[in-house]
Amino acid sequence: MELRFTVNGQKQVLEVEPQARLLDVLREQLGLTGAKEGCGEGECGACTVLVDNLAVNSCLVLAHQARGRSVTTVEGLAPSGKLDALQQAFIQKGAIQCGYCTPGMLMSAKALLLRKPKPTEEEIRMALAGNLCRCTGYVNILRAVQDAAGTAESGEVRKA
Amino acid sequence: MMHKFRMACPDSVAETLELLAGMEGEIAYLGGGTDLVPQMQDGRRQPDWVVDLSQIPELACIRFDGERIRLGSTATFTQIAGSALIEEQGRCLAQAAGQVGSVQIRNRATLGGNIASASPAGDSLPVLLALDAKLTVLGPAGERRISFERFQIEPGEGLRRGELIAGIDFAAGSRGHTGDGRHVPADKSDFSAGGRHPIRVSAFGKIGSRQSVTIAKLNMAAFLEMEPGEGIVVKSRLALGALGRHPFRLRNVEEEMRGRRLDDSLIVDVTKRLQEVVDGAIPGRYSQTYKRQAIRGLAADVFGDLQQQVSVEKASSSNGPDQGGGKEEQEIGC
Amino acid sequence: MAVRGNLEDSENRHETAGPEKLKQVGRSYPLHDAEAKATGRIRYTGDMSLQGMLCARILFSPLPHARIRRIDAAGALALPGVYGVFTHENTPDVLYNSQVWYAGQEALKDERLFPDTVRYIGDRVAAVVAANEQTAAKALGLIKVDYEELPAVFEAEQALRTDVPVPALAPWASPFFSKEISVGHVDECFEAPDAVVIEDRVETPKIHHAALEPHVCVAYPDHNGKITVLTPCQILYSVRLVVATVLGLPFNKVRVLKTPMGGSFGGKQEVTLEPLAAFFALATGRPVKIQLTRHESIISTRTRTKTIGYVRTAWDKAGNLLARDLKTVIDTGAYTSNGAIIGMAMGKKAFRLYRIPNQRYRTESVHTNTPVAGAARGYGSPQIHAITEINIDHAARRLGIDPVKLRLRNLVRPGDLDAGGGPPLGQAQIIACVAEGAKAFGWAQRRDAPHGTGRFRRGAGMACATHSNGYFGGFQDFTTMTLRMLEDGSMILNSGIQDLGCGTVTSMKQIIAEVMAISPDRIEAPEGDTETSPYDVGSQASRVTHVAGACALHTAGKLKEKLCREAAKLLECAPDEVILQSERIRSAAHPEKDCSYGEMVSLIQEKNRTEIIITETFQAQDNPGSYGADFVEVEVDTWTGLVRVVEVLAVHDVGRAINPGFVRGQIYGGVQMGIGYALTEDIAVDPVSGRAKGDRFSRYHLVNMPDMPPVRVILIEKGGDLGPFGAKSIGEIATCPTAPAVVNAVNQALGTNLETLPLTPERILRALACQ
Repeated sequence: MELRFTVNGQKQVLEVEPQARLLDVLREQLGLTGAKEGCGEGECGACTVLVDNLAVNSCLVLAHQARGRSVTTVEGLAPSGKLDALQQAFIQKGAIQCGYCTPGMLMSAKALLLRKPKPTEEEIRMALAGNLCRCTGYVNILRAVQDAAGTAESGEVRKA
Repeated sequence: MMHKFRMACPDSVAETLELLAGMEGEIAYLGGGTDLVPQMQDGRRQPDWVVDLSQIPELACIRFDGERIRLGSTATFTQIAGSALIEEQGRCLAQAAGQVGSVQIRNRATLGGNIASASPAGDSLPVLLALDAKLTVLGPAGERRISFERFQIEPGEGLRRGELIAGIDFAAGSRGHTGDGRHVPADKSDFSAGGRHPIRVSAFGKIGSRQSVTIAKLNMAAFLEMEPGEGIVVKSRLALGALGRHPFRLRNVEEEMRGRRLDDSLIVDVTKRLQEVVDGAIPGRYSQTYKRQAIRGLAADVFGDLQQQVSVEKASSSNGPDQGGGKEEQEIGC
Repeated sequence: MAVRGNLEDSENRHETAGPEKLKQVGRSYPLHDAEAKATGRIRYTGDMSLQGMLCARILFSPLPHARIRRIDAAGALALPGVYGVFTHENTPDVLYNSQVWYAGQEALKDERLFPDTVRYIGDRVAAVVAANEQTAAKALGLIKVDYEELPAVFEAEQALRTDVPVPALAPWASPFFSKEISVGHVDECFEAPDAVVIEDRVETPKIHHAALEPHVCVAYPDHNGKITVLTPCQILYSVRLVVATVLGLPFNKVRVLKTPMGGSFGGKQEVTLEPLAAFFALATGRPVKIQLTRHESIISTRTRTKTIGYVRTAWDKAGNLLARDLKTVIDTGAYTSNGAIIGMAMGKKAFRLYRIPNQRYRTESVHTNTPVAGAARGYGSPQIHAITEINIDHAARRLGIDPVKLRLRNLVRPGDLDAGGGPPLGQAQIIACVAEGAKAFGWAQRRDAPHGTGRFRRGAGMACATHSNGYFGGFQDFTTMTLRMLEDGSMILNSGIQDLGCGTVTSMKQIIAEVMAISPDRIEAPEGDTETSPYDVGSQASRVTHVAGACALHTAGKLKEKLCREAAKLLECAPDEVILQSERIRSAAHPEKDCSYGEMVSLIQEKNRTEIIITETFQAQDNPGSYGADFVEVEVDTWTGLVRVVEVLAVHDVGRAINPGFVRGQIYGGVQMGIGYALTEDIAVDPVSGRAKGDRFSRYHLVNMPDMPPVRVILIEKGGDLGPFGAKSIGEIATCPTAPAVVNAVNQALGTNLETLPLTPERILRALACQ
């Protein structure tokens, strides 16, 4: 079956099996291996990409459901080679350790900032609730998103 | 790995029905795919046909026809949770939608899909009972309307071959609407209490194993209609989920609430009754001990929310019907 | 939701180490591969595709214990695209143990590629190697297996009962390992008339490591009979040892390359998929990839041991810990793995945290028909500290003494020896951790604050822990490194290091850069390759920073000596008059004749006919304790049993932070893992069916972002031990104190004595109902 869609700004026309998931096509047919499969059931978020600027688990979407849509993967975050503010913040704030969750984290954060450029801490936490990380305890990820959004607080620690 | 299947990607409902008529073997409808895709991936489901409903504009709408709120079956939980219309006219549905899975899941998962999956713990299902929602089912024999409650439990009333759920609707629930579909002009209410509008509130709550992205161990939705002066419950619908195969209405408890004030003593009594309901629903089950305790917390959350809404409604009752606000769009799609 | 503090932690570091002014050590550089990870450019093993690569999928046993009568693979073999079906009938029957890391290491060998009797749900029955995943998966479904079901045992204490006739445990006895360490006069102390005796039974669950990257491996043969294994592993030389042993190959015909690690936490420390992939690649003559799903990773690889701990302590009224009697029963699952030595690892920790003159530790390890336990972050420390620290709090309640005061009275002090006979504790700064932490946390106020009497109750708790710094005192521990300076002044470090995402590569660069007066980004430090890297014991036992880091320091020191010696000939001065500064070199006498490192190295090659290269072996000479104390506040919903961790303060004695950003990163992640250990994580083997209930992420809950509390970190950096610049380990100790601190906080909030982890809502409500 023919699939026409846009990936990272590039129009694609591919021959795709009906049972292929969006994740499979991105990774295997287009060589975009940034999105990962961490659980296959939409719990971990490592496969998160944007479809028309909304974050989705690409392991739960059949590729043909993306027909006519615009898909953005982590490889599309820095189209001209210049890193996105989120990527820079993730690097600088220590939000990356093993890095396996990073592409999905970045895409969920990107979807949030596209919709809400100055999110509150609670909004960031809820927006990234579907992205699991085992290395960082999320502490520096939260900090990086706040930094990229320009909402990072400075100064003394507030007691909870 | 998925079993091979054929896929249809219709653009309209008419085209869908036409395609369905010609299909043989097992047919699976694909909405958001959040349940179906992993089920196919691990082989639990092996349909011959997959019909993708996710790009049919007429199925993705949320609108208000003056009496009822109408949702297309592929309205996503993100759309529902973010809809000012739903927030105003069926708040418990917006609440439940906002607590389904994660952002990524809500961006794909649909109300129709939640109904079709019929998971015992599906968060939207007790809400549809509390709102007394009706389904519009289209099939070879034309349109069929059926209450969600009957659809999910009556033998033979579920989806028949060649049918699909087109829409879900429920009576607008804000002040200014009767709750049974009739519109009441602000200046000519037929409500007895001095011509003032009844107060209608609804709430949803769930208990999972963490704060978010969790399957409900218990969920509950409540709708109350109250006489505005004394705050007496005139009508109510209460539904519980994750206690058996389907969520269910608690008609006896609803009856007992009628005529009472929404105060702490009512909550205490209702909680006691809810514990009995748990005992009756899952006697001897390992989870019974936990759920009969935990439902106390759930009842406190849901009824506390209702109380709070009532006090807000009362405070603003002099300002006439609430026009909503905050959220951007009123209607989606269609 | 309640208002939270932000997660910004102060730059809280308590340093007294060393008078020297450090330029590179102590700075928080980003990870060396952070940009590749942030752009998706980095290729993990699962992202790799080789010409002609085949896919293997494994058929896992659906039964907890069964003899395989017959396997009919005809249907699978007939499927186009299937290159082979492998079972116990056509694969080596060499027995091995997945955790051995050096040749000659003694361990029960009871695992083989495919057994003829499966011992747990998740054991390997067969595998299909096919052109693609779809074909492999389809072929798996066509394999017919005739099983003869056998009785099974799922609980450790049942496996210990002699009246249960269980062939599952054959051919070894149950327990298959037991040992005792004892000092002083334990029994007498408990019999003393005025002793206050506190007794507990603590149970810790089997958990899944939950690295976001599920297990994966690629292997390919070359034209000369050599097999190359690409694997995100922790111990290259362990992989080589096991693969070569199982396949019957010389060590130099097995090449193991460490690929980017998508998280491990011990889960990828043991050898699981590698011998399979290597065998399939040899058998088919093609590259083969094995990629597990999450479900498969959870049930079929490794877990943390389930441990039941019996602990009795004897105290005097003033709160002096007179004696402790400890016993652990360790459920290692269906295969031995590290089931014997982990019991000892637990026991040794028990002698290194408190001054206890009389102590006995006994351990028994058993097999059960459940998923296999093995290495897991902390290697027994989270288990033993959960057992002992819950007991200490229990004692504090009974004695009416504040838990911080009780601990301060009994904790070890800097310079103490190990009462159990292990290596000296070194600069053990646990008292500083507890004292600083209590102050910064506002312990006294929080502890005395009312818990509340309504639905929500608050409590504060804390716990301490210790962990090791390598194998010194137990096993051989050394590392060899080769360091070179090239003709442009850039450098290459060749070593067997394996970065698990913690920052090992960057840390090594910082250490070398400090010595060589060079920028870390001028150093290339590739990860291990058994064909080209010198030997390393592996990224295990919390040894990397302390031991491999010390090796980097010594090697750089030697290289600097050589550079100065050679440069001195050209600068016509004495070697000790050569000055290295900002990547330039000169003599003290003639500062105007200064040249770049590159120019000097080129000149040395041209005139002195030699290379600036050093190969150095470093042998560990100490094994001090790393120490940590976590302070936790919780809020418990007494109606639903859900616990919210409000805030965590983690204080760690790390000797010296080479890269404080990395150190904090380890602590944040360790806290997340520890909260999960305390509250939600359990693969939960059903005692009737033997099936893991928590066998996928929708049923196995890690702490996610909304549930993660703010974490503050204080680092105690007083140096003094033999690690590079005094550095000690952090990766494993980071998670050790968290779970007992959370449990102690919940018990304080509720007045309960909950002792079975995780504290699920069900367990909490049951405990409340019993009050």
